[in-house]
Amino acid sequence: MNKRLPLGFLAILLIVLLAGVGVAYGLWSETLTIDGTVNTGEVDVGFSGPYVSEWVEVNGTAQIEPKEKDKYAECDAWATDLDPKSDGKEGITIAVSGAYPSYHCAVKFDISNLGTVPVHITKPYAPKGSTNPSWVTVKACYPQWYQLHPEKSAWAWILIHFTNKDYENGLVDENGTYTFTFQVDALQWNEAPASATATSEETEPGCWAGYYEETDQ
Amino acid sequence: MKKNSRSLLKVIPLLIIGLLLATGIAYGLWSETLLISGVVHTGEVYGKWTSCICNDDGLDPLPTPWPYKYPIPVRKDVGKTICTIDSQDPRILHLTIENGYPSYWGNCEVHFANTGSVPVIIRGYSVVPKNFTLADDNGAEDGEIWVKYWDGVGAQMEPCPHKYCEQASSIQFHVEQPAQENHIYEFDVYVCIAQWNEDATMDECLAAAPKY
Repeated sequence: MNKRLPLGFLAILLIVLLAGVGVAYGLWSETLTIDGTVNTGEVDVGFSGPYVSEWVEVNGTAQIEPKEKDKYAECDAWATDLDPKSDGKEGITIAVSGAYPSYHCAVKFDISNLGTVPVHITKPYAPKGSTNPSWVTVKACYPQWYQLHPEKSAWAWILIHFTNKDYENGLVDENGTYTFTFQVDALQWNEAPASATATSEETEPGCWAGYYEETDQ
Repeated sequence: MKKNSRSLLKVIPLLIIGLLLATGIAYGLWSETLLISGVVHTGEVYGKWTSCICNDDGLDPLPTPWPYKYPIPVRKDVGKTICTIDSQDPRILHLTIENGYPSYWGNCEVHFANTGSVPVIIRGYSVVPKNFTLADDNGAEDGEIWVKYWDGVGAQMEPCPHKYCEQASSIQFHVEQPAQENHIYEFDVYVCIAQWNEDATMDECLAAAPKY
């Protein structure tokens, strides 16, 4: 019952197989290669400054602290490096001693984009759970979620000033210690809420008005 | 019932996907946070008496120069003036006159210092009789006792140990003719100091000052 394959069929099969191998090796060919390197950017913001101004209201009129009164209330501020792995200073510490009603300390600083990715920044805000005194206030010279391009800066202030009214209302007392915290968030520009005036460099003309502009010695 | 279960089964996966996406966005976002932290230590307005010296050195003092036409009498040791700073609260000074009699007179030099941390201005003083009528003048007979505080109102005092941190004043008194025998007359003298940079009247200063 065994049937033999015809010799002729085997021969033809061999020729076809050899021809197939011959085509594969003999075909003119070329390979294209794509090599890629991706260098990612960086979201990195930092503080510049801070710059301290002190003044006092004498009978309701603002003036520079008289030299002989200067030492009794002092305001100091410095930038701190909270993240040594990134550029710039991520923190500002402010210390005020001997403050009394109608003494003012304003700490001016800028937020700089030190990275390569545009960011949207918030105004300095009190983070949840903080117990900042109401007489420590913020003034930011840029809108909320301001778009900050690399190598650009935006200015803001922290103002420390309480009045006799604050004392009467129990918001401040003699020999007291009060702490405060503010935060600025910077998010990559394309994943953050957009600001209405995001591209404006002059967001609030006259932003400094109302502040006594004498820089401390 | 079955229809509801089927609808729920369709919603749950969508919900999970949505939540995962939201979580992914929140954690994957490139961002940085800057921090501003501060501390404010407030100062203090505080003054205290530092000394009191009276001119009754045993013999009753006589006004100088002698203001009357009759001859200067020989001094006697009758009345006594005691001045002390309260041991518990140096903001209070006690002036006690013992065995006073009409025309018994005394003068006490008092010193006080700004021992707080804020420069102050003396806003005023007030003599408050507690149980008698204050005479208008030395020798006036419209009250039992005449009390005068020599002030320094308006003087500015820097916090100690500054060289201008102390103030000298004086309290004078005179027992007038209407004074009764064996009687105790009480009075308070308030001197009010307030922070240097705020305009305040004596009344405003007293109203704002702590009570003790």
